Amino acid sequence: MNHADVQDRLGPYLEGELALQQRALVDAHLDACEACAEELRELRAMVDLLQGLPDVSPPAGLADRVLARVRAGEANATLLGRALGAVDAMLRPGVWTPVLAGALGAVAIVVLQQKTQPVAPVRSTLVVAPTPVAQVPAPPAVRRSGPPFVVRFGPTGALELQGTPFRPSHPMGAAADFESAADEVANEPRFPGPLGGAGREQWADSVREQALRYDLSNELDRSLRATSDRSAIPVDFPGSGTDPEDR
Amino acid sequence: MRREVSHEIVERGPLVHAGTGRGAALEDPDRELVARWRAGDASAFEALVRGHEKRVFRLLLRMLGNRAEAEDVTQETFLNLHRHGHRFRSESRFSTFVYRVAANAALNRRRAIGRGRAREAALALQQAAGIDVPAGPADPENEAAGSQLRSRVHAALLELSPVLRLPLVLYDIEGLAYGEIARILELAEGTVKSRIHRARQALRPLLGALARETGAGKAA
Repeated sequence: MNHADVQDRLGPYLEGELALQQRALVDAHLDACEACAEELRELRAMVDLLQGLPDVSPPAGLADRVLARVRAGEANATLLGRALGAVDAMLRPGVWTPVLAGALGAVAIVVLQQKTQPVAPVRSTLVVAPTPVAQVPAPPAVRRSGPPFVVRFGPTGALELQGTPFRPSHPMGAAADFESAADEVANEPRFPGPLGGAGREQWADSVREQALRYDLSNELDRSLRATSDRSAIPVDFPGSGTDPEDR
Repeated sequence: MRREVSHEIVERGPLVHAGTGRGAALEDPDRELVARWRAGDASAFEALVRGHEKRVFRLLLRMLGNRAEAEDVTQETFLNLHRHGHRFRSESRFSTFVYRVAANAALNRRRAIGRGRAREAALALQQAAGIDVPAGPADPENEAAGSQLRSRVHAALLELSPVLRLPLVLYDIEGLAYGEIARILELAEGTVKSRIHRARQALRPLLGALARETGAGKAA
């Protein structure tokens, strides 16, 4: 094992997660290499520092204040929330699904019949970060064999995820697509990122953060996405005006 | 179709409440309370709040950096729980759902006040009020040094991007297992591990020297 191999394994080594043979190889390297042994000591001490943060107690009366607000009706579901909850419940597999599908189909037929012009298919666009055009030397396109989306610079210079129509390609949903996109951005040297090459990882982090937030905050959206194609999924990005919570 | 996840939960460390352990994923200690709450029993919700307020507050304090902010968002978390409790699916444990709602609230709050301002506000409040109040009796000799050490560790944590800090706090401070963190954040377990690894790497320039000092002090 070389230094890099060992350093990659120090975390699992510390947790006792390495297989016996791997552990023996790391042990052998650590016996001979003072630099890696020092790194292990530093890592262990750092984890000790984190674990040594004292336990904290919540402020006195916190639960009472929460419960008073609940009793005052602050936590009652809004009318919209209840309506969405009902839709959510109906979208779960069960007797309602065929009824709902039939109703949606009927609505779709009526809408289509009223259109005098044929409707062009909407190409979904998932704008994840505005990137000034001036910083973009050429619009690179990257396609991986896995997810059916393309990461590219759109006509306005914004970096986009595109699919037709957008539907999460990953069983985990859209957030996992963001994850893949973030990794793609982080590892693809042709993406300069908003801050140039050195900013790629930072940019990728921003995408990951959005993925996390998006996924955490949209349980209902996720169940909707699981059952329907959507032409676009707005994603928040500071200054982009596409914050899902602004809708 | 949802991702297949292991049902094994391994919780580590002393911070995790009693009654959970390896293989306890399906044995939700809150199952009965949740059922009573859903049936309209307000006292059951009260018991859930009292049972989880400490872990929610602790996570939010580590994520947000000051007690006032953490209390505020803890309250929001429980109001949201009450509001959206019907979305809780009993295939995961209630505590996982609580952590998820709290994590979401923390990320929302951080975005709302902006990363830079959050850090400034956190540092100002830390200096004004002292960030951590130890549960045990004070040791006058080591109190000042210990408090300074904790402040430095906490300030370093606040330097991390929230997306890296969250799994690190859940793992190294809350003592949760990778599998449970993966369920809370709805990420693959490998992603959780790699973020924790990256978070530790990012902490090294901030805490490495301090760690070497304290590590050497301990060894001596």
